Amino acid sequence: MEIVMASLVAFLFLVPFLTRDRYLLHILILSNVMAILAVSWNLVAGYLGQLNLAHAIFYGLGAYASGYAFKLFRLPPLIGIFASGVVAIIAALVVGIPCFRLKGHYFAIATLASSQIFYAATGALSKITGGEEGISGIKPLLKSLIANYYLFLILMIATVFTIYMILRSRLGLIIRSVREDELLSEASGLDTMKYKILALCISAFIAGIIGSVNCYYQSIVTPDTLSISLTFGIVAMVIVGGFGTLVGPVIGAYLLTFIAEYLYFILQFRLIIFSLLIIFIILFSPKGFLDLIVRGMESIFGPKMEAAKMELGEDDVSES
Amino acid sequence: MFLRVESLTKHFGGLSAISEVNFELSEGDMLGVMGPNGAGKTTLINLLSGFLMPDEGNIFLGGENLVGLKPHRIVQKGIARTFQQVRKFSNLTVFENLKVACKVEGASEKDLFPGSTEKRILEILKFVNLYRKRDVVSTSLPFDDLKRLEIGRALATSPVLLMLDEPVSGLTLEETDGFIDLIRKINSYGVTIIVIEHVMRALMNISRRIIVLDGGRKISEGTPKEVSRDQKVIEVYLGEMAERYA
Repeated sequence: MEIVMASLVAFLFLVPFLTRDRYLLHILILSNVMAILAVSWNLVAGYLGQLNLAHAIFYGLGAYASGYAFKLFRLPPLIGIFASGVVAIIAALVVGIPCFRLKGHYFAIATLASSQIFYAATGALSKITGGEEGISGIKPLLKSLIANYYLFLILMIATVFTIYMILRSRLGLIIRSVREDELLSEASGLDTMKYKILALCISAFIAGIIGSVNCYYQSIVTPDTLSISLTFGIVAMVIVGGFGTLVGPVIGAYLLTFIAEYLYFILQFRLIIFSLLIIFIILFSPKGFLDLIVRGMESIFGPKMEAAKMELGEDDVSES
Repeated sequence: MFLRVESLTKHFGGLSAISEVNFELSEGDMLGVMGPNGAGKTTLINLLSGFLMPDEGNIFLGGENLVGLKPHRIVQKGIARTFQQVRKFSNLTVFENLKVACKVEGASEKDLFPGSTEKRILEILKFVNLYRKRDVVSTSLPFDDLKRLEIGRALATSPVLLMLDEPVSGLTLEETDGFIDLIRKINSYGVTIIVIEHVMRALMNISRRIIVLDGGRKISEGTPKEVSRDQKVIEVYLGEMAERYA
């Protein structure tokens, strides 16, 4: 399976040599943006077991922070990107500290409400946020589409690698233990609140950074970046790809981004297709599309796939 | 005094779960807690471990009042516990279950199992007889191994006081004997132990002193022989069993 993954990554690096289709490259960039959001969201939802429905806030605020960094202060992009990460962490603290006092569904609802507060604020504070128009005319970080393509691809790989390293570390073990049994984690001497907030900050930092880089790429930031529908899109991608797996959210992000973009011509019908796909996955492969692929390959290649299953499942991060 | 519990009281609505309970423990002591169902035994452990906040009273460990501290802070002070219903990190291996609890900040320097994290874990696993199953995912362990895992996890936090909530319930006679030996062995290393148990054979064998709770109140305290002769204890709990231990 490692060979398959390496081949896919190698293929993605070769895409600009195989096609000059600007639209396709743009869709691949968007897929990488969504993959980064899905992988970072999955750290809190899939591995920590906390259904955070405020992920768009971190992405959106990261984008707005870069917009301001450029428009108001003319700060260099690198400083704007760093500032976005810091803003996202502050937002994670603001959302996380009160919301993590709640458990289960209550936590999810509280983060959903937080998300709506931030989204509504972009409209209410239109003089600052630019209202529906947002902030436009932001100078791109890189001019060439191909350079942007590689930047987002490298960021996506770096994100997956970062999350992989976190999950292999003691912090990763603690994150998984909190999901398994929070009370037992406390009884084992762990300050679960501290670790939940830490995981949310890491997740938010990544979302803020990608919000920023995407803001430079698109040259515009609008209130849509903070919309709850973005968070629901991320949730759908992770469910379709594979909840609590490392590579699953990337597959889900690519799949749903392509479906959404290439079925644009059928307008609202694509939502029906989206929904049917999610229902199909939940019914026939609750562990996600990735599991479906692995099982399919297992039936072809037999027991050799057992090891691959381990690599892609929840145990793929166990320390040896 | 190592542990001093003063006027500990906890109400759930109109129900008095623990009422004005006092007792003291010296370092290295082995205290049994017994009483009928609903007497307040587990509530007492929940209060001592910070999972419940008392309405009144104090809990002093080495002179420091623990009331108001969160459970993880109490573990860091050196108090570990197990649960009546076995708890585990189901999808983690035996080794990982212990690793979660290792490296507790501020853990006792007089550690039972010194050394690096990995060395400590392996030593503890040998101690609780789970070394060979260190790579097994905990959800596939048999019941008695799960009980050993709980004790191992608690030991990984480097406790000075270990509270065991019904450690031998549901075990066979042979397994129970193994656990009695294990608990004695932990105590022989200087770890103070509080044990709640309905299995009288185990409790009477392990404990040096016993307190008896009924309706949230302490109704008796003394050596196993003393409490088994106490008329109040015979009436509310021991009944005919008393003769065996008197």
